[in-house]
This record gives sequence, structure tokens and C-alpha cells, in this order.
Amino acid sequence: METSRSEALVVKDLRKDFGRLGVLAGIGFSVQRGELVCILGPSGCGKTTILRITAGLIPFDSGTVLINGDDIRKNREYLKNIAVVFQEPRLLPWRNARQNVHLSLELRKDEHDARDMAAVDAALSLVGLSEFTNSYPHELSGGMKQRVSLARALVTEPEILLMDEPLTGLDLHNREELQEEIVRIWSQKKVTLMLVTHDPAEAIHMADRIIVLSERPTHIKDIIRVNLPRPRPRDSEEIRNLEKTIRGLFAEDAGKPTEVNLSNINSQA
Amino acid sequence: MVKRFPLQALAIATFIALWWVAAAYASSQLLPTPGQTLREFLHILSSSKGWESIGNTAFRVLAGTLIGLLAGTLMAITTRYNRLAEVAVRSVIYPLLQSVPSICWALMLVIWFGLSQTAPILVIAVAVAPFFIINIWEGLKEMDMSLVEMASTYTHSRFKILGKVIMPMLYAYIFAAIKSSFMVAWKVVILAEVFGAVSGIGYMLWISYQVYNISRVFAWTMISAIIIIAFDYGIFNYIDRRFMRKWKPQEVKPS
Repeated sequence: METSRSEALVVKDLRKDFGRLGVLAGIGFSVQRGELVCILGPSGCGKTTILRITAGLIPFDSGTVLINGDDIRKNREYLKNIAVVFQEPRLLPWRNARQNVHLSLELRKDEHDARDMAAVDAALSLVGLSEFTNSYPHELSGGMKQRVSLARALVTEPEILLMDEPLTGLDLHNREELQEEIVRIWSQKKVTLMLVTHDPAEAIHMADRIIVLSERPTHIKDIIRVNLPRPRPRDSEEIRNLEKTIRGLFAEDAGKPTEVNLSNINSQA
Repeated sequence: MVKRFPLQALAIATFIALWWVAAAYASSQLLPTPGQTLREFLHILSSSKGWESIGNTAFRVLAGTLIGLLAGTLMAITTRYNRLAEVAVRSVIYPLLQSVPSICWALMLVIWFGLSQTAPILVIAVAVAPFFIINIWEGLKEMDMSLVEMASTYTHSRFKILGKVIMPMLYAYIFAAIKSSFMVAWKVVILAEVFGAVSGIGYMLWISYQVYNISRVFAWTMISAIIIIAFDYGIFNYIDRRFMRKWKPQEVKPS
């Protein structure tokens, strides 16, 4: 009972099959209130599946997911405390930035007042888009669109923010800039943040803890605590050591070298 | 646009000239001259009876299209949520609406409802409903489901998602259906009015034919054509340019 108070999210022995394909083979971890946890794993390993289950978008076969101590299968109300940022910004093309951010409030609330628009503008300014409130999605760059989608999630004042590879489609410059901003917003808003990524450098730069997943059927290889003060440098002795540890974990998988993950950093750097 | 205009004017002038020549050789009982037609045309437009007939027909077109829009949209959308409705619409209602000729509907509806407003309006509704069904099906098929999924993380209300996310994605398709419906509605209503009404453009055409006033038949034909062209080139093109492009911004962007 004591512990559940500080745990925003608890996952116990989570299993999920897609037909005969085993995707998640017993996943268990917890996320503390206000913590920034990255779920790191190779492409196609089912890390997005964990996030989608938590967001209530897909069912699971067995195990338990608790949000604020409540079983998500029993009580759907928990979704009010959650907001999701997807890999693609998923903006409505007929709405400008401000109207897109307002959408989440329109969907979530039954009554609206003038404070909503103030909250929308505050969220847009938090993600650095005050100048672009009237721009339509097709007038915005990829990074800006993702900022709008982040503002759309933040304006609902979520307790838990789930982000599914939100920076994957962006170029390195935008990615690094948004990593900093997400960390800044996370610490400012004191939100619990679970971010899925395939990029070890991203996880090391952002996370309090990194949950490292194996290939399919997915289990947890290790949970690594990143005890580095923020703002973190992009490169240091400790960071290189952490990367080496992660690379080692990935390489264990069936003797395969890590194809995607680390070559990814090098090629994009 | 600017360059096309003189060519269009030339084409129309040529058409009128040929008409003139043909009328000069044919008997005026068979083909009136453009001048005779224009006189009748002005005569109709200067009479209150003329405007009343146009107004009657226009009202039926609007009412019929509106009923067809509501019924077609409702049917197409329910197929998405209800299995029974899907079977009913896909295998019975849609094929029936699509395959039965409008003239048959018109006859049946006149038998059922008599010479009233109801029959011509329902003929239109029946004739245009398939346009809405098929276009909305297309819209639902092409719909970006990732937006619907995104919305579902913020609400459990299907109604809110339908209103704020799904319907706006369908507006462009509904507009396309309205556009093609209008053309069909004008053509169908005039036919229905010939034997199913005691007012309207079709009825006036019928009367003119009965008294063998061929230039009046031509004048009413001209009025019908002008109305249809005005809608298509004027109003719909304007709405298209003004509003619809914004909804599908990827279409206006040159690649």
C-alpha cells in the first residue's frame, strides 16, 4: 500500500500474443510518480505494444496494468489522467495549430469556457510555438507539427504522458532540440513520462531509468538507472560507458550483432 | 482562365449561328429561331407565373436533395457501426436505389402520393441518395484511422469523435456528392413534374408542349440549362475554391 502511492504505473507479468506470434513474454516494471522512464528496444520488439496497452488502445492476454493503483481492465476512467503523443503528429489538417491543441479539450471536457483558450495558448507557448498559433499543419515543419501534438497532450494537464517514438521521423538537429525541450517541460510540469525509443543515445540523454527490452518474444533485459545530472552533455566518459553496456545487452540476443540501434546513432550523427 | 474566355465566347457564338441557319431552313413549327426563343425566354422571366414555376422547381430540388443527403449520409454512416444496417444497405437498399430507373420511382410515387409536392421531392431524394451513400463509403474507406485513434485517447464518446473528427473528414466527399446530386436532381425533377405535378418547370414544359408552343418549350429548356450551368460553374466552383481546398491541403500544393 505504501509503495502504490508513489507508483504512477505498475506493469506485472504482461503477456500479449498477436495470433501465434508471441510479442510480450512477461513484462514487469513500475514507473514512479514524476519519473522519466524510457523504454528502449530494437525495432519490432513490442515496445510500442507496451505503450499502446497502457494507453488502452489494445487489449492484452494476461498480466496486470495498474495506473494510480487501479487496474486498467476494470476501470476505464484512468484514461482521463493520460495523454499520448504518437510517432506521427496526427494533426487534423483542417484545423490550425491552436484549434488542433483545443481539440483534446473539446473531446475530453463537456463544458468549455474562455480559460480553455488561455490554456491552449499557454501550451503552445510552452512548446515554443506562440508565433504559429494560426498556422495550418501543412504550413508547419515536421518538428513543429510534433510540438503541436505535444501541446495538444499537455493542455489536458495529464498526470502521465506516454510518448511513442515521438522524435523518430525528425532530423538530428530537431531531435536533439526536442529532447531538451521534452525534458524541460517534464521537469517543469512534474508529469510522469514514459517514452518509447529505439535510440540508446536518446534514452541516455533523457531518462531517469531505461528499461532495455530484448528482441521478440520480448522480455526485459535490464533496467538501467541513469545517475547523471541535467542538463546532460551529449558525450562524456559515463555516456560512452552506458552506451557500451546497452550495446552489450543487445549483442547478447542470439549472438546477433546490434544492427539497428547503434549503427543508427552513428549514421545519423 | 483569361485566355479561355474568348474561345468559349466564340464557341457559343458559333453554336447560335448554326442554330440560326438551321432554323431559317426548318419550319418554325419544328425549330424556333434563337430570336423567337429569346423573346419567349424574356416573356417568361417578365411574368410572375414564370418565376413562380422556377421557384417551385428550385424548392423541390433543394428539399429533395436535402432529404437524399440526410437519408444517404445516415445510411452510409450506420453501416459503419451496425452489422445489420450494413447488410441491409449494401445488399438491398443501395442496389435497389441504384438500379431502379427514376421514371419508375416517379410513376410509383405519383400513384402513392398523387399530384402533390411529395412525389417530385421524393423522386429527387431517391435519385440522389445513392450518390451520398457511395461517396461517404469512399470517404470512410479513405479515412485516416490514425486520427480516429488519436481522438479515442481523449474521449470514450463515439458521438464526439464522429462530430469532431470523422464528419469533417467526410465533408469533402459529401460536397462532391451534393455537386453531382444537384445536376441529377434538376434533370429528374423536370421529368417528374411533367406528369407528377401541377406546377414547376416540368409542368410548364408539358403545357407548352400540349399547346404546341415550340419556342416556349425551347425557352424553358434554356432556363433549365442556364440554372444547371450557373450552379455548376458559379456556386459550386466558388465553394470548391473558397472552402474545400483547405480541407485537403495536400491537393493544392504543387509537387
